[in-house]
Amino acid sequence: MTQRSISQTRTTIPNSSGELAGGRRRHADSPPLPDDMLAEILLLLPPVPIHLFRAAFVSKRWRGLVHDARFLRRFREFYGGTPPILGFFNNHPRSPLFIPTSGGFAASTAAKMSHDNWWALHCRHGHALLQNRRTGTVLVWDLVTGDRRHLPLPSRAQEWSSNGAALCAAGHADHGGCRSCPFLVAYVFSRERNAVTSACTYSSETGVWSELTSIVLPFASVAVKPTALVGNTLYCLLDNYNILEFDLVNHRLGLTQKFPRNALCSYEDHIVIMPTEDGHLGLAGVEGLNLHLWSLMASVDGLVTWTHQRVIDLENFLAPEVVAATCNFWVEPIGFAEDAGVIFIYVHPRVYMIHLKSMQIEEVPEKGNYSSILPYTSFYAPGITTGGGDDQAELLNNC
Amino acid sequence: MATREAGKKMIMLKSPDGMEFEVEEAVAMESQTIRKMIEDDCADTAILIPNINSKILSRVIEYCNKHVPTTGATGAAASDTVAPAALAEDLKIWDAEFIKVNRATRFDLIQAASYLNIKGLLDLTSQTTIDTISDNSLEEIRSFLSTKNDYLPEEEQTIRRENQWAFQ
Repeated sequence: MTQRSISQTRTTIPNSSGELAGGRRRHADSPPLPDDMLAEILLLLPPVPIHLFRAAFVSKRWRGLVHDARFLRRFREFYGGTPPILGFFNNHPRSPLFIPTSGGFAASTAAKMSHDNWWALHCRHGHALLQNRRTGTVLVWDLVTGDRRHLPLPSRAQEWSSNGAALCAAGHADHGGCRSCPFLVAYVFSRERNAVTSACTYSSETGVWSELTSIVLPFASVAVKPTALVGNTLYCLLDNYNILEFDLVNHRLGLTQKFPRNALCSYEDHIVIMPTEDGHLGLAGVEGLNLHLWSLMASVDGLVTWTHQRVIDLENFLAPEVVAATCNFWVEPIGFAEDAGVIFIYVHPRVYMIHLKSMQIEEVPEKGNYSSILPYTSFYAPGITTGGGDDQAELLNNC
Repeated sequence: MATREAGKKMIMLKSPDGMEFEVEEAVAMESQTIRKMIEDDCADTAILIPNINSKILSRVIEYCNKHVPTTGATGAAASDTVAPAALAEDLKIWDAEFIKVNRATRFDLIQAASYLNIKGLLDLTSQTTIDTISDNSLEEIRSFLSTKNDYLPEEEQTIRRENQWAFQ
C-alpha cells in the first residue's frame, strides 16, 4: 500500500502547566464514557438477555441506561425485532419440562418443575402458558421478568383435554416491550363424555373468564400439540387431525379446511401447525428427509385450499451419521418459534433448529426424548422489582 | 491551510493543544464531519478539531491513513499486486494491533470517532469495548469502565432472587 504522509509541522504548548491537555488524563481515574456514548456501545451487546442483564447489574447508572424504554426498543430494532430462542418447554415425561438452548439462560425453576404437576400449553412474546395438572389452574409466566399470574380454571372445565394460548391484548406491533400489557388467555378443552369441545377467554383487564362457546365434535378432542395464532384466530389440532379454529373476536368455534389425508399419511401424522410469515395458517411435515411447508390460502376464486409452499431437503443440513440414523427414527417437526421464524426438527435423540429465513441450522445441546415442544423466545426485559425505568427503579432503591 | 504536495490536495488539522497535522484531503475526509466541512467550503484555512488532543488526533489520523481507499495510479498498482481479501486480512490484523491501547486512550478514541464521525473507527473501538463487557466478570467490567458498584448488598440479593434465570 502507498504510505501516506502525516507531517507534524508545528508544535506549540499553550497550556500554562506546560503539559499537553490530553496528558493529564492518562492516569488512573479517567472519566467514564458519557451516557449517550455508553448507550450506543451497549446497543451492540448480543441479543441473549444475560448480556443486558449483566450490564444493568454493573451499576445503577448503567441500569438506568439499559432499562430506558427507548434504549430497549432500539436494542430490539437493532436485531430486527427477532428475539433469541432461550429454550423450550417439553411435555415428554422423560425429559425436563424446560430445556435451555442458550448459554446464560438457566431458568432452573422451570427446568426443575415436575411433569406430574405442570403441563406446558403455549409460549409467545416472552410469556409461557402452563396448566397445573392437579388443580387445573393456569399460569401465565414471564421467565425473564419473573412475573407470574395464576388464573383460576374456567368454570365447567373440570373434565378436559385442553390447549390454549396467551396473547397480548394491547393491539400494538412491537411485542418486545409489552411485558406489562393486558393479556388474553384463550383456552380450549374437550369433554370426551359428551363429544363437546368448548372454548373461552380470560382477560387480565376484567380478571374473569368469558362465557363458554361450544361445538359438538364426535370422536374428536383437542390434541396436545402446539397451537397457532393467526390474526384473531387460534387454531388447535384435534386428535383426529382436523383443525379447530377459535375466532377470538366473534367468540365462535369451527373447523378449518381439512388437510389432505394422503399428505398426512406420508408424514405419519407427525405435523405441526404454525402461522406463516405472510399471515396465513401454515403446516409442516417431513416425508423421508424432505421438510414440507404448507399454507392455507384463498385462491382467486375465493376457494380456501392447502397449498404446498416450500420443500427443504434436510439431507443438505444434517450430518451423514444423523442421515444414516433416520433409517431407524422418524424425522419429524416438533415445534415452531414464530417470533424467531425457527422450526424444530427431531431426529431421536437430537433436536435441530432451522432458521427458515437464513436456512442456518443449529443442534440443541441437550439430547433427549421429545414429542412436541414450545420454544420460548425473549429479549432482555427488566423485572418487576428491578424496574422498567427510572420510576420503577426506585422500587429497588426502596427495598 | 490547504496546500498541495506532489499533486495531492493537503489539508491542515489543528488540535486544541496547538499541534498541527498536514494530511491528504482524502485521508481527512474519512471523517464525515470533516468531509462535510470541506464540501460546505468551510475549510479554507486549517481546521481546528476541538476536544481531541494531539496524541489522540495523531492516532485517529494514523487510522484514517491506513483505511483510506487506495485510488489513482499508485492505488491501482497496489490492488494489482495484492488481492482484496489479503488487503482486508491485513487491515484486520492492523486494526487488532491498533486497538491495543489503555482504556483512557480507547475511550478518547471512541469519543473522537463519534465526534469526527468515522464509522470504521467507531465500530472498532465500540466492538472492542463490547468484547470487554461480554467476556469479563462484573468486577472487571466495573474496573475497566471506571464504574463503581453502587448497589447495596440487599439490593444485589433482590436482583439475584428476581433473576434466577441468570444464575446457574
